[in-house]
This record gives sequence, C-alpha cells and structure tokens, in this order.
Amino acid sequence: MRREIPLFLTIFFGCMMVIGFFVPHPIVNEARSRVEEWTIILAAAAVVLGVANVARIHMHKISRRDRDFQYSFPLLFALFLMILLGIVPKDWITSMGFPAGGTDEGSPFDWLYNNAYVPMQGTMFALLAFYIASAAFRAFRIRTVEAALLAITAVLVMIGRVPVGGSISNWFNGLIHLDLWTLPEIQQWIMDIPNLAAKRAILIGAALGAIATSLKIILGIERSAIGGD
Amino acid sequence: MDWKTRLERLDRRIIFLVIFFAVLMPLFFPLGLSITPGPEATAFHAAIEALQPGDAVYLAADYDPGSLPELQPMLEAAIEQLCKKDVRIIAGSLWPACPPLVNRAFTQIAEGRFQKVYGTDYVNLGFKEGREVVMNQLGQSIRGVYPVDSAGAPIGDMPVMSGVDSYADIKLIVNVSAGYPGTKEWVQQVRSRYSIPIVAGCTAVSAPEYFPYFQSGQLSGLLGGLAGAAEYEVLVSGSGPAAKKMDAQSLGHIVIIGFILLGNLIYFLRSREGSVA
Amino acid sequence: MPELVGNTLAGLLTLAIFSFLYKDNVVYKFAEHLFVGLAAGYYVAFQYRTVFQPNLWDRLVAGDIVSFIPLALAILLFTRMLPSGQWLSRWPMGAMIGAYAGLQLIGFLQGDLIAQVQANILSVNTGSWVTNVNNFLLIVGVLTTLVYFFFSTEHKGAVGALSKAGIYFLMISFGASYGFTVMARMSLLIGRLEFLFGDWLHLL
Repeated sequence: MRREIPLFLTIFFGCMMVIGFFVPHPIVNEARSRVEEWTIILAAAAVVLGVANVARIHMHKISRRDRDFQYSFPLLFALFLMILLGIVPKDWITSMGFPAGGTDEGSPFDWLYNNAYVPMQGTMFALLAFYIASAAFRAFRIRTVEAALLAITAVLVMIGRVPVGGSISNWFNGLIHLDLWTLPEIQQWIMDIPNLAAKRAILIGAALGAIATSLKIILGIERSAIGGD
Repeated sequence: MDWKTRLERLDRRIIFLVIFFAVLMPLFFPLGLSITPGPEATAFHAAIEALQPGDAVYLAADYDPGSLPELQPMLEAAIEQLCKKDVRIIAGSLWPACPPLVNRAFTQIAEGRFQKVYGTDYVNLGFKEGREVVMNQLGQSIRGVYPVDSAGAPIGDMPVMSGVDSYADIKLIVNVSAGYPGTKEWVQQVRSRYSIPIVAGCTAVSAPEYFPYFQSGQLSGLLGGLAGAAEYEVLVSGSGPAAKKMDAQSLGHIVIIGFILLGNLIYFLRSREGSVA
Repeated sequence: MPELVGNTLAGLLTLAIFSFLYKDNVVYKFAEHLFVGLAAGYYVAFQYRTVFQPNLWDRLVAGDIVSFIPLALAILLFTRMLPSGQWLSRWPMGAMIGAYAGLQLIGFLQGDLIAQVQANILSVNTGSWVTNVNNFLLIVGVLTTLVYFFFSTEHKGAVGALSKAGIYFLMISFGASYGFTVMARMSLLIGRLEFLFGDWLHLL
C-alpha cells in the first residue's frame, strides 16, 4: 500500500497524458480531461500546503523565541489578513462600505496588492540592478580567451540592443563616410547565429535529459519522489 | 594609496549612487534617441496585423509585479493593437499575481481608449493553477477549465465566448511571459500539439533562450525585454511607456560597460606591475 | 484620498526595500517579512477563489460525485503535516508527478528535441553566400556545443578541438545572456524610479 499505490498513481497519471497525446479518441480524451482536472486541484492544494508549512515554521519560531522571531509577527499578520480578505463572502466586505469584495478590483485585497505587494516585489527585483553594476566593476575580469569572448559579446549586445547603439554607429559611419555594419546589426547577427547555435544545443541537450527523467518516472524506475529507492 | 588601490577599494555604495543617477537623469532630461524595430518585433506586429475583425485571440499573461516595467508595456501595446484590429480578446493567466495587472491594462486601454465592452469584446478569465496541465486542458474546453471569469461571473453566456471553446476556435496566442510557466511551455505543449501560432513577449533575461524558437518558426514573433517592448510600441503607435524609458536604459548600459572597462583596466595595469598572481 | 494613502504606503515600502542597499536593517527585514506574508496569503486566497470554489466546490454542490476523488487526494496531501501517516501524502504526490512527467515527456520530445533538430537541418547551398556561411556556422555551432556536453568520451584530439569550439559558442551565448540580463535589471530599476519620482512625488 505504501509503495504500490503511489507507484500505480504515478504510472496511471503519466500514461494517461502520453496516451491522450497519441490516441485522440473521444473516450481517451474524456478520461485524460478528467485526470487533468484533478491535477489542477491537486496542484492548487500543493500551494496551500506550502503556505501552511510557512505559517507553521513561523509559529514555531515565535513559540521558541528563535532569533529574529519578531519579524514573524508581520509575516503571519499579513498572511492571515490576505487570506481572510480574499476568501470571506464578497458581500461581507461590500457591506462595510468597500466598493468590492473578494479578490475583485477595488476590494481591500486588491488595494493591498496594488500598494504593498506590487511595490515591494518590484523593488526587490530592482535591487539587482545595483548588484549587477557592482559585480561588473569588481568581478568581470578578462583572464582568458573564453572570458574575452564573453565580455566582448556582452558589450556588443548591451550597446547594440538599445537606441544609443544605432546613434553611435550612424555618427561613426557619417564621420568616416562608409557604410559599415552598425552595432544593432552586429548585435542581431550575434543573437541569430552563434548565440542561437549554443542555445539550440542547450535546448536539445536539456530535452534529452528531461525526456529520460520523465520516462524513468512514468516507467516506475525513478521512485525517490514518491518514497521509493 | 595610489588611484588604482583607491578604485579597487571603492565602497560599493558609491557604485550604487553612480548607477542610480545614470538611470534617473534621462527620466528628467530625455535624450530623444530614435528606436528602430528589429525583425522579431516586426514579426510580432505582423502576426497580429494578419488577424481579421471578429477573430478570437488568447492572451496568455504569465508574469507578476517583479517584471512589471518590462512586460506591462508589451501587454498594453498588444491590447492596443488587438483593439485596433477589432478582434475578441480572451485573457488568462498561469501566474496568480497577474490577473489584476491584466485588468489594469484592459481598463486603461480596451475600455478607456477604445470603448470596448467587457464580456462582449474582451474577458479576463483570471488565474488558474496547474501550469502545463491548464495549457492542455484549454485545448479540450476553455469553459471546463474556467467556468467563471476572474470576478466569478459565468463565462458561458458572454458574447465574447460565442463559438469559442478550445484552441480550434482561437486564431493566435499572444503570450507575455516572465518565466515558468510561460513561453517555453506554451511552445512545448500548445504550439507543437495544436499547431496554433504563438507570438511571445518575454523578459530580457529569458529572451536569448527563445531565439531558437523564433528561427524555427515555433514562435511567430518575439519581444525581448524593455527594448523589445519599445520597438513594438513604435510599430503600434509611434511611442509609449517603454519607448520613453529607453534613454535611461541606454545610459544604464553605458555605465555598466564603463564599469567593466574600468575594472579590467585596473586589472590589466596591476598585472603589468606583477602584483596580480 | 485612498490613492494618496496607497501611493504613500507604496512609496514608503519601496524605500524600505531600497534601504538594504545601505546595509541590512530592521526596516528592510520588516518589509521583507511583510512581503512574504502578503504573497503567501495572496496565493492561498487566489487558489480558493479560482480553483477550489469553481472547479471543486461548485461541482460537488452540483452533484458531480467524481469530484470527490480529487477532494480526497487533496486532503491526503495534508497528511504531510501530521506526526504520523505522512506516507498517505505520497498518493497525490505520485499522481501529480506522473501527470507532469507525462506532459514534460511529450513537450520536450515534440516541442524541443524534434522541432529544434529539424530546424537545424539547413542548406549550405542557398545561392546567397551570407546565408550559406550563417547556416554553416549554425550547424557547426550546434554540433560542437553538443560535443562539449558529451562526457562519455574524453575531450582529447579531434573531440577536444571540437569541444573547444563548442566552448567558444557557449561563451558567446553566455555573453549575450549577460547583456540581456543587464537590460532586464536596468528596466526594473527604471520602473521603480519612475514610480518614486513620477507616480508618488510627481516630479517627472
């Protein structure tokens, strides 16, 4: 029971997806469709499980008075507030004078999303601009031919991909009265030929790996994720 | 302490300040550099131009606020072009934090500028968990996956959905993607299986990976990052929010190139002095 | 009024996150934890509104008995949090892993492997020498990069030379990726600065 049923479910769900692709019969399609609907619900439940785990970890942190446990209070407060605002019946929220309830536009849930979630997530990603600048100065050292190729390509792409690249090329071509390749053209060639070749090889290699792993899972050879060896 | 040592020990916060001002200044004092659309953006634009009035398009918006500055302009410009072409827009998302961003763009562009009617000309189906499974399920039945729209209203009676219930009824997928699940999965699961054309706008980080898909014809158009968005805006309306940011983008790139060159100059001089192993 | 309050809150939270650039501090940590809580709560509420309610609950209420199967499997998933009986969570895990493995198998096979190999079968006799050279480079680039990733043979002699060429192609592609990554990061910073100085402070 502990091993056989998970293994059976893995093989059954996996095979349904593959058979559904090769056999477009209505009965097979209907069965595959059902299996897919169930998977959607399970995937949603897995997200809730993950969040429940985060909540549990932070509750433990508070109860054990771990280091920085104080920060778990705003985390749990925000977590439960968002859940509450999002799932209570919409008319409860509107009866309090808000224009909308649930997760709809104009609801308190939406207000928190727009004015807290959006700016904080956007800024966290924006921080990386500063660190990439710092790394460009401190860590980007051209020590080998390979590093030189990487650096030259990076510079050409960075300058050729933005409008200033075209402006520089036009100015330079005008200066020497020649019609040389412009920086945007060089950049485009890099992207379309050598970059594309390497990226395509990576795609092919990764596809082979993913196909092998998926086959091992569906055939029951790879069982570590469901508690097997 | 000589200048090389001083530069080597430069406080990183000074570097932060340099990049901060380099990006900020062009926002106050634009340089007005001209933008020339590349082949990928031109193909993206052409694929939508080829649509006929009344055609149904699936707008797959798969991103979150972390990529808002790059991808929201693409979404807005795509909605603008789709509205100009008078096609029906059916939007859905596989990223939970995306539906409000789609609503924002619809309200601003479709409703605000083109007086399109929700439920008749466009609909936001909202988020659905399940990633590749949802992509495949949409090929069976859109109503099966999305019985209701993002606000909980049943989609079955909406005029925008009349005669549309699977990819067979969709003429084009317009994907705006920040990663997984996104462009790669749409190509793998839907383009190959249902032979429906896809155009994609994606973050600059993931764009180089999708060039093989564009060259192979699996993607009919590709927009990479803010530059791609700006090129597309030029094609759709001559300018837009992304195009206005390209001066700041240009200066930011020049500063990064300057840092790479300066860092290597110091390294080169140190090597000649023999102080670098 | 709510817009002013909202913009002010958004502005202050933006500054709280940016404060990390000076050094790690209490304000940043507070904002960081607040964000994690908001995001996690947001996801759960959305799963309820967009999946559990329309795709499960409404169908159960409408008398769709088969929907008890995913309900039961979903409940079993939560046995993972119990002190005992955790093995039951492997049932839904097995189902999910199987379904995604099946989809990935088809997707990678048809979407990536076959389509990309097919797209790289190019002519080097097209009538245009530029296209011929480019096509030749594409063929050589893909093959040499694949040789580099082939570790079953020692990279010596001819294989070593081919793999070295593959490394050069890879380095160019990494350089291109770096250039695009810089572009992405700068765009995000521009977005935040535009919010701070435009939407919030109205200076732009």
